[in-house]
Amino acid sequence: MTPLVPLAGSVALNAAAQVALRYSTAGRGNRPAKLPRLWLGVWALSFCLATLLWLAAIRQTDISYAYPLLGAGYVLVTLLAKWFLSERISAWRWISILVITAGVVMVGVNR
Amino acid sequence: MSVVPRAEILAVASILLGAIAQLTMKGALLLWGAHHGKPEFALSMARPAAGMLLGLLIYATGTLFWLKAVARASISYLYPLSAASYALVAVGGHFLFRERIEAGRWIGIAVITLGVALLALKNLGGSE
Repeated sequence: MTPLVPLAGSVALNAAAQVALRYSTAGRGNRPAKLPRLWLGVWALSFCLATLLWLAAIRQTDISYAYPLLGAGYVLVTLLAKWFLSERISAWRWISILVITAGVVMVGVNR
Repeated sequence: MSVVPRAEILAVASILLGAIAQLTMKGALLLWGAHHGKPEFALSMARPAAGMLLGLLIYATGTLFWLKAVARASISYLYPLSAASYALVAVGGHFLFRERIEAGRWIGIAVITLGVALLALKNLGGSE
């Protein structure tokens, strides 16, 4: 199994963690979460797992592959927020997030 | 004169602390590497170990600020903002540890900064 799989898993878990955290603290739209502490726990667990996965896999990976994955994480969080938290993402916000992603990829490629 | 929205202040604090934590831990690792294999290794382990612990504490504090920030603004706004830490850690590494950064990477850092600025400036009217 190429190390890219656990790295991608780490990025996905981290994205899910961030969305879980937002849900825990602010709910979805107007409605607060019913079990905020459960979701905080989901955040904490996912975050720790994501970190461990990353640390375990990053040594075996060319870092120029790792950064594009990190960059994709920003897009993933945005999509998850849109789908699960009903967050409104304006065109401007999408553009700035894509610019950020491009920058992260550039940093990764230029090492 | 308007008050700066609190979510941004909390997020900036968190991002700054996160960058400082990473630099601290990097410094500790460098210190550890410098002493490794030398006879005084056991004694000089204390400083790198303390550095790592300090870095983790700073990181934990930054996480607390992050929790507070996320309660106050959208995650699709705050999380991409945190990409600013790439720029901060890179610049910090350059000045603190004399890390070489070639042009391509500087450009990437500039692009990240541009993206963060675009994201933040459009949202400063109110945090959603």
